[in-house]
Amino acid sequence: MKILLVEDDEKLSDYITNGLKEAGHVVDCSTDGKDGLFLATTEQYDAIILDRMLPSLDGLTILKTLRGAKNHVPVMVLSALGAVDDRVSGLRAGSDDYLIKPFSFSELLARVEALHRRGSVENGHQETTLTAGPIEIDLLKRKVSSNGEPITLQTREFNLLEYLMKHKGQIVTRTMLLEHVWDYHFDPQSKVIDVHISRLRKKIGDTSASIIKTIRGAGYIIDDR
Amino acid sequence: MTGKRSYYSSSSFKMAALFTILLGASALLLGSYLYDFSRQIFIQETEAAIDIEIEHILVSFENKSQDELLNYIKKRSEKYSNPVYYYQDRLDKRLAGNIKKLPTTVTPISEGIIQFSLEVSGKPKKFGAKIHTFDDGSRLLIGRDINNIIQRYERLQFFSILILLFMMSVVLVSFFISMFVVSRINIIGQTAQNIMATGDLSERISIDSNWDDLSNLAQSLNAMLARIEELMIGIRDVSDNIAHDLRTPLARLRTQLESALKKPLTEEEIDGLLKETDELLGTFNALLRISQIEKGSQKFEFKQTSLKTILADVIELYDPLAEEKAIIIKHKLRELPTIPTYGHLIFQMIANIIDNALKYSPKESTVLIELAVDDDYQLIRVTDQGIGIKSEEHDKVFDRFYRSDKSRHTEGNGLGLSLVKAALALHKGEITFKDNNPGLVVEIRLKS
Repeated sequence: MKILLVEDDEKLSDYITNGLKEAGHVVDCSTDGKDGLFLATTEQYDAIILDRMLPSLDGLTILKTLRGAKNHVPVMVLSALGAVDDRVSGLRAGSDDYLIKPFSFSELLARVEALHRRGSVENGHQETTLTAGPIEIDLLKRKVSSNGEPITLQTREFNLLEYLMKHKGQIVTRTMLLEHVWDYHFDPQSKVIDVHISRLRKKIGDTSASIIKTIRGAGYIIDDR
Repeated sequence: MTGKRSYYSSSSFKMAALFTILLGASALLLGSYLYDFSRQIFIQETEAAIDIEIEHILVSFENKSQDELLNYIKKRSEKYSNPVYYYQDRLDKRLAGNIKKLPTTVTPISEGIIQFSLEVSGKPKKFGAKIHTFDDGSRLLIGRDINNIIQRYERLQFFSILILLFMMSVVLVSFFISMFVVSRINIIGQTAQNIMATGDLSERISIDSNWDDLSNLAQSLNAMLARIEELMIGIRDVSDNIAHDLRTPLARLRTQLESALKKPLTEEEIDGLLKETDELLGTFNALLRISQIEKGSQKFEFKQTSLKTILADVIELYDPLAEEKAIIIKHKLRELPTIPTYGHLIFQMIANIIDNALKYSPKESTVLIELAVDDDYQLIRVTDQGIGIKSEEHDKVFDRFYRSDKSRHTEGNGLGLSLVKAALALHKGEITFKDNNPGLVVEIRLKS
C-alpha cells in the first residue's frame, strides 16, 4: 500500500511512518498542509492519513479540495479528543474514518488497512447476506442462523456480529467496536468488550473461538479462510 | 533590588508628603486669614462707630461754645451707658462724661485705638476707645463696649486654632497610614522576592493584623501561595508516581526480552508482553487524555444529551461483565430533560465509576444505578456493596495513580477517578462519596 501521511507533529509523524514501513507499506510524509495537498493531487495513493490541524492549510480543506476534484482515495482523519463531534463534519467533508489522538499504532494500522479494503470492496454491489463459516446473517430481515438453525440475538449483539462480518478478513480493534457498535469514543478500562464477544461466541455456538478469532494485542477478526 | 524600596522613594510616602504640604499650607492660610480678618473687621467696626461720633461732635459744635458741648455730653452720658464719654480740659480736669475717672491701665489695639476695662454695674467690661484732642487742648474720650465683639473674636480664634489642630492631626494620621502601607507593601514585595530567589513556595507573608485591606490582600496571596504549592506538590507526586508505576512493568519487559535472546518466547509469553505494553500505552493515553481535559485548551463541543440514554448505554455495556461476576446491576432511571454535556466524556466517566463498582464488589452483590433530580442538579447515584473508600481517602482517590491499600492488588492504572474529576470539572459538576456500610455511594451532580 502506498500511503500519504500529512502530520505536522514531527515525532508523531516519524512514529507513524516507521510503524507503517515496518508493516510493509510505502509512506510519503508531509508536515505542511499545502505540500500535503500537492502530493495528494499529483501522486496516486491507496490511502491518506490526514491531521486536522495543519499549518498553512487545515485537514478538512484539503479533504474537501480532494473530493471536489473527484479524488476518492480513502482518507483517515486524525484529530484531538475535543473535536470528536466534528466527526460528522469530517465525514461530511468526505473522510472515511476518524481517529482520536492519542491512539495506539495497532489501532491506526488496523483502521488504515480496513479503509483500503473497504475502498476496493465498495465498488461492487452491496450485499444483503453475509456468511462466515456456518454463520449467515440476513441484513434486510436482521436474522442470524448457524447451519440453517435460527439464532436469536439482541440488537447490540446483532450489530456487533454485523460489524465483524462486514469487516471479514480485517482486524477490528476494541475501540473500533465501541465506536461503531456503541457509538461512543471511549477507553474501556477492563475487558468489557471481551465479555460481549465471548457472550456472542456462546450464542452463535463458537465455543472454540474459531469463527470470531482473537488477535493478540490488536482485537478480533472473522476470517473463514 | 526591587522588592524592598526605601521608605522615602515609595509612592505612598511621596503622596503623603505632597498631601501633608498641601494640607499644612491650606491650614496655615485659612488660620491666619481667619485670625487677621476677624481682628481687623471687628476693630474697624468699632473704630468707624467712634469716628462717626467724633465727626458728629466736631461738625455739630464747630462754632458753638464749650458749654453746649458739655451739655450734649452730659445728656448723652445720662441717656446711654454705651458709648462712654470722658471729657477733660487741658489741665486734665474732668469736665463731663459717664466715667468718673480715666482708666489706669490701657492697651493699644491698633493706631489710635486703646482698650481698657471698666466696672459696669459690678462686672468688668471691655471697651475700645479713641481720644480726640480739641484745638483748645481739651480732650474727649469716646469708648464703645467691645465685650461681645471680643467674645466673638475669641471664639473665632478658638475655632481657627481647633481647625488647625484637626488639620495637623489629619496630616499626622496620613503620614502614619503611609508609613504603615509602605511597610506592609515592603513585606509583601520582600516575600515575593524571596520566593522568586529561592523557589521555596512554603514561605508566607507575615500578617500581624486583620482589620486592614492590605492584611486581607496578604491573606489572599498566602492562600494563593498555598494553592500553588499544593499544585506543585501534586505535579511532583504525579511525576514520581509515573516513574514508580511504570518502572516495574518496563523492567519486567526488559528482563523478558533479555531472556528472549537466549530462548524463543512462547506464544503465551508474547501475549503477556503485549498485554503489558498495551497497559503501559493505555496508561499514557489516559494521562494525556486527562491533561487534555484539564487543560481545556481544546474546545469541547457540548450538546444537549439525555443522561438517561447515556446511563442506559453504559449499563448495557457493562451488564455482561457484571453477569460474569454474578453481580446484579439494578437501575432506577428517571426521564429528565436533556442537559448540555460532552456525551463521550460523560459516558467514559460513568463507565469508570461502574467499572470500579464492579471491580471492588464481591460476587453476588448488587450495584444500584439511579438518575434523579436534586434541586438544580441532575443526580447520578451509583451504590455498591464493595470495599468502599475510607473517608480520609475521599480526596486522595482523585490524585493520579493513587491506589488505596485495599485496591492496590486489583487491576487498573489509578487514573479512572482522575479522569472522572477532570471530566466533572469540565462540566462544572460535583462528586461526593458516602459510606454504604459496606460499600460506597458515589453521587454525581450535573447542573440541569
